[in-house]
Amino acid sequence: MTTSTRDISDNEADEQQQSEPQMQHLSANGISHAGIGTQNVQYATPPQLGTGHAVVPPTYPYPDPYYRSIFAPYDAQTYPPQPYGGNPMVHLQLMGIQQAGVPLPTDTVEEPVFVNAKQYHGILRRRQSRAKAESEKKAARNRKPYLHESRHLHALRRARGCGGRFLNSKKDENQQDEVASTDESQSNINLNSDKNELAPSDRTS
Amino acid sequence: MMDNVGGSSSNIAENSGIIREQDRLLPIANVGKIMKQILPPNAKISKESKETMQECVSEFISFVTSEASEKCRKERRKTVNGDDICWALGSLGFDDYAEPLRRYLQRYREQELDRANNPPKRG
Repeated sequence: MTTSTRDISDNEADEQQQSEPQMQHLSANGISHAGIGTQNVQYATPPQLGTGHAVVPPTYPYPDPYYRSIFAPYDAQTYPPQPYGGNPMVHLQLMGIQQAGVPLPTDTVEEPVFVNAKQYHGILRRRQSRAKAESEKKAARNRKPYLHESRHLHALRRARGCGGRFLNSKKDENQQDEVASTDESQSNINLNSDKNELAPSDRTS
Repeated sequence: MMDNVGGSSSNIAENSGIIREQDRLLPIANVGKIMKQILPPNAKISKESKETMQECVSEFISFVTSEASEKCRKERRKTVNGDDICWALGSLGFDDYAEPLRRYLQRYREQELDRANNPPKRG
């Protein structure tokens, strides 16, 4: 149990160090700067119980039917407008009788999913918006491991210690003050934020 | 050299009309920090959890904004303001969130008034 937890933490830390600075840069500067990756990097999150070499499923499994109904339009085709024309009339009658929940029409889930009556129309509206965006292929589903090529190359060139963590002379000297210390010598603000976030976690080595 | 390549890539992406991941979702580092605030200091959050929460919070923002935008459309207004967001939360059944947000909006507007009445000396 402990060993597998450390393995997962180590893999996650390695991935976070590579990808999170780019996201920080986006939020800090506010400038969107997309980069093309010349290397086809395989990027996958390991499952909770598996080892580092386990195969990751392509989509997130949502056992809760509520989540499945919300994210269902991503897998299904564009909804035809006809089913929505008749269903609200039927369900509006049900809302007067039953206040606990309103059955939501779903194409992929067999059982009806009951939702808050106040949110019924909003959910239908969002479904159409997502289906429209999906049909126009405006939403890029695949996640890129990094945003900027130069930052990715810089991270690859940095020295790494046991377990794949970046080497940091200040952190090695003051491991006792790891939580409170701030690496001011680091010129990159994003990398500094990344290290601050990783400071509370225990080192695997 | 690399900057020019990135710039041209950005232009190509914008011309094709593809909504990129960084435009559709909140930054994953900020989401992780917010999740960490409620947890003990030694807790760990998996990458999968942060990505799932990215999808959930971004969908929630679109859900509430869509409700507020529908109200503005009916009233023939073009700008969605803070009151519309508070109304939308109440309309969708999130009354527990609407009330704290109204108080936050009131304090925010008071701070804006103070800032307008007392401009900084540098300016």
